[in-house]
Amino acid sequence: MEPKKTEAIILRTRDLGESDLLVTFFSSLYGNLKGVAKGARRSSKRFANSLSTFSLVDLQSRERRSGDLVLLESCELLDGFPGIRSDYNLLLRASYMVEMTETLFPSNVPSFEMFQLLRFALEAISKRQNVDESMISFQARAMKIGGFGINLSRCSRCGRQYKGEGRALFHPPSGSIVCLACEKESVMTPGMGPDTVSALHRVQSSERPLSNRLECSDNAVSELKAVLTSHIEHCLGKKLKSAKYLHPIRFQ
Amino acid sequence: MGVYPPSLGRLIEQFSKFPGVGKKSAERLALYVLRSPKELAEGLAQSLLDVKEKIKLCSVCFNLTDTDPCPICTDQRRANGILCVIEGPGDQLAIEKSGAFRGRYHILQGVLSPLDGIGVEDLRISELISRLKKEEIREIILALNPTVEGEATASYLTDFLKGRGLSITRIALGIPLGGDLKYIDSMTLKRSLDNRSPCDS
Ligand SMILES: [Zn+2]
Ligand SMILES: [Zn+2]
Repeated sequence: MEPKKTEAIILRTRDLGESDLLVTFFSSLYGNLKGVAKGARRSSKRFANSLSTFSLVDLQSRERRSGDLVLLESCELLDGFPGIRSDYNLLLRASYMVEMTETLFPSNVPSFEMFQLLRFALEAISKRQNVDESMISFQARAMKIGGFGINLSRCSRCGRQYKGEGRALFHPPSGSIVCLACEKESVMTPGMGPDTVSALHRVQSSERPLSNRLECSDNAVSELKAVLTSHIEHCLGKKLKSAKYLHPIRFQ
Repeated sequence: MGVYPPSLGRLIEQFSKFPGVGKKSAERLALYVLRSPKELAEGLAQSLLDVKEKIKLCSVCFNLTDTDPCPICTDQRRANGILCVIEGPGDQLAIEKSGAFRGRYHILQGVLSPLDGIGVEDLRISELISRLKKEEIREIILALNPTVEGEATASYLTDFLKGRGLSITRIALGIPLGGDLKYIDSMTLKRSLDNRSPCDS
């Protein structure tokens, strides 16, 4: 079988047997895959310590005759995103991103867009570039790429078009906005001002892999956080493990 | 497993639950036990029970021990005000073997790992703080593994321990003895250059 060469981001690693490593990675060409790195814990020559969580690597793998696991043949470190290692708050955010990627793209569902998003988001937080805004942008884009974009064009109840005048509410069960005539603003249906809606629209439809400048007010940023939190919790059915630790610093 | 008599089949099944032991190795181990003198089986069974009954965590440093507190925590010669913070019992064993450290240990029982659901409250951090005064600790050596999680934990602890009048150090990171620069990853190489030490000291 032909070896596959691809860029990838290491999502998780786990010890396997005496000297091997089980590696979960998100590759640019094939999506989420699991592979075995034989002898990775014993000798550092072939993998040169490149198999750390969150690392961007160039890796070569080969399919095995049976099973879903691929065999990792070589791996070269492209970017270890060192900033993430030196700050627990960044580790929390990077973990959240990885968990969201795994949940939206379980295995063998390729998405180059998702790969690019994860890569640029990890790079942004590692360099501490607008960490909060990068995080929001990641959340909104990941949901959109995963097929859960928020409908911002019309009220899901009465169908009235939203043209940017006045506030709109987010309605988690329909993944859409509803108008103030159909619903009251509450924790269950958080509200958004016109600039919040347009910032979300810009992020969702952006051509760039990651827009880490939202260009909106602090108030809009907190509204976006509330909307995305309830949207993600509703769609992904469960709270992400890492979200539990994110919570106390999310509203700092 | 149908080809074996039930008792042998059960033993094979038990062995195959061990990490790194596949079905073939489990069969080999079980057959070995079967062919060995009875004392081997008795000794093995007793050791297995002893480990479960006698080994506990030291209430001071959280290392595995037969006696509480453990021998290191009761040894007055090791009360030198230096505390070495590590992830697990295996790390302590490695440092003890090197003979390079004569102080006491504090075992965190893991590292911060949000992806595995391990947060600050899951580690022995508050117990570490309560030891500082009691044992007149002057220096903390963070000897955590240089994984992403280990390093993030070290930086968390450094922030957390700051301003308590302690000297906080971290074990150095660099080229291993017998290593080859050609095969060293770029991050390690960069760190070892950043942290280079003068030759005349
Ligand atoms: Zn309506
Ligand atoms: Zn002890």
